[in-house]
Amino acid sequence: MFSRIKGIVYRNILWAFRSPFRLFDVIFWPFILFFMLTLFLSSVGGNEEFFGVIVLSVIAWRAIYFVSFETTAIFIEDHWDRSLPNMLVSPIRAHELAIGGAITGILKTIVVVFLVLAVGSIFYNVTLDDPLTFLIGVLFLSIVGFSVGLVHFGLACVFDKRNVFTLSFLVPELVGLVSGPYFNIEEMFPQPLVAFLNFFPTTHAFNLIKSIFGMAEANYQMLFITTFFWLAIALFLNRYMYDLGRKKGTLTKV
Amino acid sequence: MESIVSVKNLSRSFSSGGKSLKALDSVDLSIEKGEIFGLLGPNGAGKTTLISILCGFLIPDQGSAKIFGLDCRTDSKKIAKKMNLASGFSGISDFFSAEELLRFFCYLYGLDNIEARINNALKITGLTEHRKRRPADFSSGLGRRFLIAKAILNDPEVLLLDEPTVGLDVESAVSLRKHIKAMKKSGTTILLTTHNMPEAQLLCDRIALIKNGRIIACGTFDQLREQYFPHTVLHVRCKYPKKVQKVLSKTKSVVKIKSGNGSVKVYLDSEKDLDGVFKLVASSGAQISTIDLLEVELEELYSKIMD
Repeated sequence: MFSRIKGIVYRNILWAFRSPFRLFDVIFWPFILFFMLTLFLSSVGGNEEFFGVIVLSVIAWRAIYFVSFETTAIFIEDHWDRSLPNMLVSPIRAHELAIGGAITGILKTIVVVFLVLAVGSIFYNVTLDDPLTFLIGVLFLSIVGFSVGLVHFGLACVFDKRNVFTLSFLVPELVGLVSGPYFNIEEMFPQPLVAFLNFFPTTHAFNLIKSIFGMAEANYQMLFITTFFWLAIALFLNRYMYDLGRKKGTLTKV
Repeated sequence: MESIVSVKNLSRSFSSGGKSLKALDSVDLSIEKGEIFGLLGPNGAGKTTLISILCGFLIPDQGSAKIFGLDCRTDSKKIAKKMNLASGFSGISDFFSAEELLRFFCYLYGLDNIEARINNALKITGLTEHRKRRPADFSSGLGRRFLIAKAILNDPEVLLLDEPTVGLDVESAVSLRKHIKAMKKSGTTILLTTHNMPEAQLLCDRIALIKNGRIIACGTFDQLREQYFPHTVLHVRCKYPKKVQKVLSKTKSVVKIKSGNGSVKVYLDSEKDLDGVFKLVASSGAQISTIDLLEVELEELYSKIMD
């Protein structure tokens, strides 16, 4: 099992260095988002604490995206290369493929953590006062990313892979945005939506990160329950749709 | 002989345009250890569907497909350790060199002695000097050889070859056939699908012909010839074909005579009366230039059975 996961990580790392698209994902796009927010904040005279929240939320937000995207990408891109049968005929199982992708996403997140913190420190004197709480938040967001990726992976086994690829860009961003990465959802959204969003683990993970700056209260119990509840559902859906793909003949074609 | 691949009453349908199409219809076959088994049929006959089921990519509607006695539906990942696939239509991921991709596949198969296996696979397929190049940039011949290199990394006991020589130049195809024969010698059981009849005749121990999802004939080439083309054919080139036709018209063993421009094909029900027929033809006064005993080719047999 470890050898097969190692294989996926090995190939994904090579891929990241060979493909500009994948490299830009780590060294370029997080900074677009970062400067978009911080420059706006500078222009309206935001306080120093807010810069810290933005730096950390940008990193944490990327954790959902990277892990979710990488969990799905290898399956879909191999389909486009028509080499998916070569991979699926090997002993690798769907969850090993997904875990390999998720580890790649976590490695990408680690790179972004260092890069964004360095830039945040240089430009805005941001320091990481409570690294443990922050890392716990990122870890839980990575698990959420893995859950989202598992669902997309499952969808790609049954439905048109081009549409699922589009979803794999869209959903992590949407989930991150509505979960209040640098604002409180109670102040921004109507109460019914807030109640609904409290079932999202991302809401509690971002609250945990914001709690470092006293902007929100951490609720570890809800974070834990919602994260593993969604993970269990995602694992079930992934397995169900993988088997459905085999039944319908949409998994792959020789 | 031990049966390695066993398919029983296998059926699979697909819906297309509101209609249900039977890709496989009650297919039975068994492949014995160490044989090269050819699966021949027109496009859409069900060959790829059968391979997809054997690989575990597709679940059949009914029946069973087993490899090493394990069910392809539930144990495909156990089977995968001792099996591999080389499909002539499969692509190769971009961005990676041949040796990087082979290393990746070694990891997927959980293999040890990775570098030695890579070197061996590259050597067998004649790709050693191309190891640093990207297979995506290879010519189609080198690309097919790379897929074979990938397919032999885990020393598979069962190898599925789906049209492995499609689109290859003659030299590459000949070289690939040599590899296939060498693999059979080392004990690998091979299921080969191809549209190339001479290739199937050259390589396969047994052949199954599939049409509309059904196996319509199965056996060795000699068995199929015996069953579907039991005639001995004499090809006579001469100046006056009608004279040959005339002297043979009352010979009992002659089943059919086809005469064309300067040649006659004589179909005999057996080789027993060959001497007598030779003598009659020689005495016909047709001014004979050559007489050949025609060997029936698989292509002719295939057309006859498919019709």
